[in-house]
Amino acid sequence: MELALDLVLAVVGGAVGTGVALVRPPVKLLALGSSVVLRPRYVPARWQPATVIDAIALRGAARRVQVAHAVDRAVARLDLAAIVTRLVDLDKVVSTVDVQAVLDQVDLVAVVEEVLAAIDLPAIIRDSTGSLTSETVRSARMTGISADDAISRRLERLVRRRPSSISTMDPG
Amino acid sequence: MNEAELSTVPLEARPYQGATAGVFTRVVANTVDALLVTASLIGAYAGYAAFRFIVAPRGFRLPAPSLLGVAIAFFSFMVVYLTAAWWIGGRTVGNHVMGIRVVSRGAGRVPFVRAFARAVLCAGFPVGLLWCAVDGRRRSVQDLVLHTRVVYDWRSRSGGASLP
Repeated sequence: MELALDLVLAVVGGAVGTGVALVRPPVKLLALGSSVVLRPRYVPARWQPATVIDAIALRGAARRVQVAHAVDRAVARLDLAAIVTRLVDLDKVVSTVDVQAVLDQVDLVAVVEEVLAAIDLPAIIRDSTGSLTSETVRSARMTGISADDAISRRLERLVRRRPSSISTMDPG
Repeated sequence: MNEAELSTVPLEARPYQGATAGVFTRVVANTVDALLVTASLIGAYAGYAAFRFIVAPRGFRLPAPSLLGVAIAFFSFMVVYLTAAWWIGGRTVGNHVMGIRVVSRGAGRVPFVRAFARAVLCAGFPVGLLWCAVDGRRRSVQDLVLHTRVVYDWRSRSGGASLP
């Protein structure tokens, strides 16, 4: 048994060693070839292939930026909303939308709570149904306003003062 | 969605919000306040009498305050009540019933000292209110002296005198 194990290890070790020995030289050659091809030692740097490739890449990047800016400017000049409404049947598009699915994704309870917090619903209910804003009080207040105006008008006529109106009342 | 869209002020009253209130409304409001203070005074008197009855029931007699004492008590009650009401919310119960509010010239809340001074003037010289009937800008003597205004404001919360 031990002999068999030794034998297997020997075979595996031999195979690995042979493989490393076979693969290492081509890789070295490839790297050496790459540097020789892209950066040949006796060619001026500006004429080396790597320099030329880098220059092409830079020029390409600059052109891509220019094209992107040109597209942005062109799109900004277009009235896309008008084009879409002219060319697209929005009703048809909207009819294909599953509104229920959209609503299912919205937390309506949270939205309602936010709206209620913003409008202060309790205060509105209190204002509209409170005893002091009942019909009687509203009527008394309106009567007071009318009486104020009537008294002002009468006194203005008596003293021949320039008639005042709501808009000319002292604002501050 | 602002407050204007949700205003609870009736349509017919909205144009008047923020405008200076006239003499009729203010007299009615002051009358309500005076009645309220009178009721408070009667309540205080009843409480005082009940206290005396509990302390000494055998020799109990209804307290008989002098006219000057009643006047001083009424004046004191009125000043405290008006000062607190105008300083805290800009309106007394009478003001609230008639939908008016006392504001400073900039339509803001009346500071404590000015509220106190106005309360003293109103309680001590109530006739000065009638000047707003003849003044072109509806200012009472108290308003002229202390640079305050009384405006229509039907909203329950103070928020300046702007339109609802």
